[in-house]
Amino acid sequence: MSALNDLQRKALMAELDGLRRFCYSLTGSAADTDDLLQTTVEKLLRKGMPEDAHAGKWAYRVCRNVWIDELRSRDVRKRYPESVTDQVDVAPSAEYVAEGERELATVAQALKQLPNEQRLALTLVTVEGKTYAEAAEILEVPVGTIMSRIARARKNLLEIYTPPQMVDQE
Amino acid sequence: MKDQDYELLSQYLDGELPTKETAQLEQRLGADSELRITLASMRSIDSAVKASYRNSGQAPAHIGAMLQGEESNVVAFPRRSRAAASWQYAVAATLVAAAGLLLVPDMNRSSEALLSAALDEASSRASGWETLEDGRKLRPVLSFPDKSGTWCREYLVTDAEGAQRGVACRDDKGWNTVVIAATEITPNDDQLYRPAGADDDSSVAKYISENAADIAASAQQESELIASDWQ
Repeated sequence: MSALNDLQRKALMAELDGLRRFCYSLTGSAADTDDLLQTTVEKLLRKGMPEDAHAGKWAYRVCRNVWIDELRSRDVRKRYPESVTDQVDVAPSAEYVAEGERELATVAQALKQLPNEQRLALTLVTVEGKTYAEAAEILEVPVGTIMSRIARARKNLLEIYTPPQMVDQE
Repeated sequence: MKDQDYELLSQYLDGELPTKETAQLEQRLGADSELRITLASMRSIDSAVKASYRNSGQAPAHIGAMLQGEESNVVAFPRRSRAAASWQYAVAATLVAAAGLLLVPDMNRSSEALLSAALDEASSRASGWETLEDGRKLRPVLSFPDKSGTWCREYLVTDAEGAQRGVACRDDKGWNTVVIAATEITPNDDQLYRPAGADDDSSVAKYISENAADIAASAQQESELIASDWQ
């Protein structure tokens, strides 16, 4: 039924959670995340993967391309996802939120304010544990570009978000 | 701070800075507190970023089912907990040796009784084994309700001859094995990840996907079930 063999399906199953997080990074919206994930899996099942392809890179690349196509077909010109005001992801009012959760909501919002390519590069490496080389393949840019996007992402985040504890490590 | 320093710290944090530059940076870090503080802040940001994604990684069960699938009898389970996603994977990864499918075998009564007693009391676990009185080792893997509301448990058992994976369901007399098949335990059987090559239509996985009415019980639920004699 599918163009994928058993090994490839297993490999994709193992990547599924990471892929979902990547979908969330791409779309910035809880509603679009599962749609994108599903469309990606459907496409992979339909078209298959080359024998020597690494699921951890190929699937991510397909996912990103599906999203790019989706954006084009929505004729979206904005650089940032709609969901800066996505109610699902905005923290409820402060009285009801514990200190720790308020900080998390802030970093999530800060992430959304980053340019897409910075957020994607950063989350691929810090959240999904990809190497710079792997992230470069997924996003189809040179390794040096990954490096500078991540550095800029971190610098920007530091400017708009103060992490809770800054301790002099010495 | 210069952009270049952000880049050095960033690469250092990701383990992507070459050896020579790492040594140089570490020397500078020893002497420069602003650099150290920035590095520490970057680490905190990383942790916060990771934490903010912690709930974004649970793929809906029906999408996992697409990958497992052909003519899917798999019910679209509601996504309730992280346990659900890894349960789906455990089912998909079940190994069955080429030979040796036994369906409701002619089990020795006392060995079945030992198994039943152990399944009544032992919590499911991802690694390690319970030792039965006859020397066999048992690992309950997960518990789930079947469509008639009966509690069933997937388990692994090993003896001198090899390993088997089975499902047993509980009636008022105890646990009865309903399906069992020979399987392979890898040398590193404590790893959750099993080698590829499993047949998707393994009898045990098929049994579960056809009969399970809901997702696997969480650790908490299971403790309560064990304490209440599986009512």
